[in-house]
Amino acid sequence: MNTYTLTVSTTKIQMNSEIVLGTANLYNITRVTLDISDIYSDIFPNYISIDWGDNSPLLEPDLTIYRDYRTQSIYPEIQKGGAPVFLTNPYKHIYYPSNYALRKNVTFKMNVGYVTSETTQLSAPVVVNSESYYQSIEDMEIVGLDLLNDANNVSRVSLLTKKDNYIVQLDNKSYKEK
Amino acid sequence: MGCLVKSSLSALSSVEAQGSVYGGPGGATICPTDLTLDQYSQTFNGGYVLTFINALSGIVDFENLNFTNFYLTDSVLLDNITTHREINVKPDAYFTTLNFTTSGDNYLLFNPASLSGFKAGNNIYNAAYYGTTTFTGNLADASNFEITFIDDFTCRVSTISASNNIRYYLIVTDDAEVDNKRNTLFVAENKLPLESFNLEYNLLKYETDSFINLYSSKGSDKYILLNNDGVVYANKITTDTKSNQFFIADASIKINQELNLTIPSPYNASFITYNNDGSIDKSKSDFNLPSNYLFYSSSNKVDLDFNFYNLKNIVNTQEQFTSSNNLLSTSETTIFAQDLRNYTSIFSDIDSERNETLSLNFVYNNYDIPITPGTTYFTTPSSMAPFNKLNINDTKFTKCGSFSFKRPDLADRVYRLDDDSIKEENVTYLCTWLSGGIGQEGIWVDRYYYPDLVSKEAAFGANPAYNTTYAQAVENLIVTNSSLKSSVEKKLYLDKKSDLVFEPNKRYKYVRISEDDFIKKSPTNFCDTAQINGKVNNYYKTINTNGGFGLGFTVQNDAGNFVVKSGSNDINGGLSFTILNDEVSFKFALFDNSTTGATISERLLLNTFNHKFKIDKFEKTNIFLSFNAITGVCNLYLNSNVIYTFEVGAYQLLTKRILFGDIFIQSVLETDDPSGEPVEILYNQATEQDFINDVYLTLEPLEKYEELAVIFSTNIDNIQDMSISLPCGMRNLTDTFTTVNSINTNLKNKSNVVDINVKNLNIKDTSITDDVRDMIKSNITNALPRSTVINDINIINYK
Repeated sequence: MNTYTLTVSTTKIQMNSEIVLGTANLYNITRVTLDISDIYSDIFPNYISIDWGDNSPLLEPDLTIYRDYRTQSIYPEIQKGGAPVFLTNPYKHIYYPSNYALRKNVTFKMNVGYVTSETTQLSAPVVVNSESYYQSIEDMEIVGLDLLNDANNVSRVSLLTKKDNYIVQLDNKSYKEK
Repeated sequence: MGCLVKSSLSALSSVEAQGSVYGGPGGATICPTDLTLDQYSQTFNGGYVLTFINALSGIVDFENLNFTNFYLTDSVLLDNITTHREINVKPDAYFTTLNFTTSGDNYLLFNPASLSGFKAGNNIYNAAYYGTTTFTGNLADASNFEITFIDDFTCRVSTISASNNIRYYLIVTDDAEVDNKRNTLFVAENKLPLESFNLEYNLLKYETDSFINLYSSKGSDKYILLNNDGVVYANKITTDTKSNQFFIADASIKINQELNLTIPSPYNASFITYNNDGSIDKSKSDFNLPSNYLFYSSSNKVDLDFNFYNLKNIVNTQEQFTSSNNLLSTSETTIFAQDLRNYTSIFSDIDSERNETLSLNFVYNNYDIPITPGTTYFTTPSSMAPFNKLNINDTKFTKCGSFSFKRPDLADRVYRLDDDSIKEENVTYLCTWLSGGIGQEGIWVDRYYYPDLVSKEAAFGANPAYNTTYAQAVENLIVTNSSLKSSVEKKLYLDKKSDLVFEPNKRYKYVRISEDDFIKKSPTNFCDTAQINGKVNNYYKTINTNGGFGLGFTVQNDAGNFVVKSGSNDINGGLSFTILNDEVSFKFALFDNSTTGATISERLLLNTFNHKFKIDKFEKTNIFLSFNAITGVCNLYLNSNVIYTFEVGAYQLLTKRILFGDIFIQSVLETDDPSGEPVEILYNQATEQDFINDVYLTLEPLEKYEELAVIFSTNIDNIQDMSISLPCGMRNLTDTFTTVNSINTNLKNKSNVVDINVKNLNIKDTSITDDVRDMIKSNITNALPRSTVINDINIINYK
């Protein structure tokens, strides 16, 4: 699976503004990590919402302010400074390519509300490109075959893709009955 | 119109979606209905569709077995490959106290408005509709507030007065601000439109504690509600004021409900420890542990329904859940079991058509040794990779449940059998034992003794010469300092931090304490002889001579009201336990000869000790009293806990009697008046009469360890087996599913189960077709192989 890190940073001047980030070009299924640790937080952001843009539910993280060092790693705080925990946590999301089209255009949106009523609105166009068969699969080898001796001779071929090691099962659906 | 087959591949298609995951790519379903496998479909040139299921990427092994396909996943969180349709559980309202201090007690209290402010305006009748804020440190006095959430930003905070049943809302007044502050008030619901009561909020979390911040907007200004010298004020927030997370934490209001706005997937493997009250002890639990999963699906169904097994990554080879973590584990949490097994491949072995087994190979890095109370001999594994040898204090035996005590003979002990390396000059190695208080982890120490000076038994029974706060520096000091060393050698025995190491292929002996050990160490129970000889008289004289006694008994569940009391003469001293319903009154009156000048009852009162406690007659209730006149200490135990203790000057007792008569039992009325005949307790025990059983009586004072031994032997039902583990490098082991049939989703297509189809008979009279069925069933079995099972006989008519 491809990975992509979307890093967002804001400054005090941008607190009450709309920010449009550059286009994120993704290829095939991609796990996107959202890094918002550089969001301006000297004034406490008491509301945060993340809309990934692909009809997944709106993410409104719990506002967890303290890190429990018995169970959580201290490294994010060392690496990124003493921002509230819910900002230093990385948020992960998987973008899937379109089932039928070559490109899928969605808009990532995020709102950060501050205790002083200011709101920062961020958005970023995200383009998920579908790759071709050879780029996404490369080669396949047969790992299993079922030939069923029933009325329709239902058969199923199990294949292992060379890229990412997916097991894909093909069947002769033209004969399938519900 | 016929079906045009473009190519051999285009007739095939990866299994189609059942539903859809958030409107995106389709998804095969998985057995739990609120869980879907993450996946996406892609259409390629030629019009064929392949569905890529994340769980089937990075599969460790795949097995195609008689119409069921098995997939063994890598060790992952189920969350990583599935989507749980989580429910938003944000409630409409909370009913809670509001604690304005993050650590402490400062609860908001509704305070009815005083009349004085309203007198000037001649509208006293209005006072009932207002209130002010105040605080209390006592939770019982705190007002309960209803926080109604209107949307993600707005809420209302109200309380209902118990005196007049009016609902009051907390508001920020429109009065002009003074020093960046505005006043707050409680206003009755009939005084303002509902929208006027709106406040803004955000919720905060810290571990399991939940907090709320309340805000109010006035024009373009925003205010946060704070406790300011015992009154709630709304303080203006500006970009210039300090308004970072620490400011917010200071202004957080603790609510007594736990907020869990998002429910995580409940299917991830977790190791959970419960408290006695049924709540989860988070410090002793591990959540969301990665596991291997065995996915399986029928290969001849039109839809791809998956089912899965969560494999046993968190149990040891003896199928026990254990607190012994993998010694080799590099995981973040180290106390509890995880990653004990790592499943690597599926291995199927078909014995016969009806008895199929599916084995899962796994790698295991620990060698488990089951330890039962008593002696267990074991040989260490041939390799202890990644270690060459391992000191006993670096093992996790204590976390596995090894028992520590202050004496070797009542603690768990380990011996290395074929070893001659740990003999010191002039002293002899006795054993390695776990030194520490009861319930503590303790430290493994070696005990050495001087066989010329002390017997082996005495060395076993001696209290530790080794303090648990001992450091290596002390040892070095003793060894390097000749005068100190010689003084140490004058001791009869000594303990030092253990040198015992586990090496490959060596024999060891583990002696786990057993209940019998405690019973043996407790002084002979006088009652044993009493049962044989019947009633024994005047044993109180022996108690007085020896200077102490121990008395224990179990209160029967159906016992009524009774008293256990020592006999008395005119002085009226001695002990008594009066059990009335569920309350026990203990009284022990000691008469001190050295007091003079007052009446006998006044002199007795100087050394009378009383204690009352409650018992639950439906639970096991063991009462034990130990009195040692030599040290002057008396301990009263309820079950295994000391509930009352007192001390008297030991010298006072040298010239006096402790008891003035034998101990007897007698039923009493609710009024504490005796109602039945007194029965001597040993006679009562011997003849198995009422009220109490398991009477324990010694006629001599008990040492502290003897007291503990009695308490342990009477209160411990059993000492559990435990399982210790040692590193053994990588070992391959097998986990077996004995009946694949049960997870094979299609029995019909198994080769030994057949359907018989009778086509084109075209008889519609069911009585005749039933006859045909019976006839076929009775005759055809002889013609079929013995293993064949007829599933059904279908009569198919013309269409």
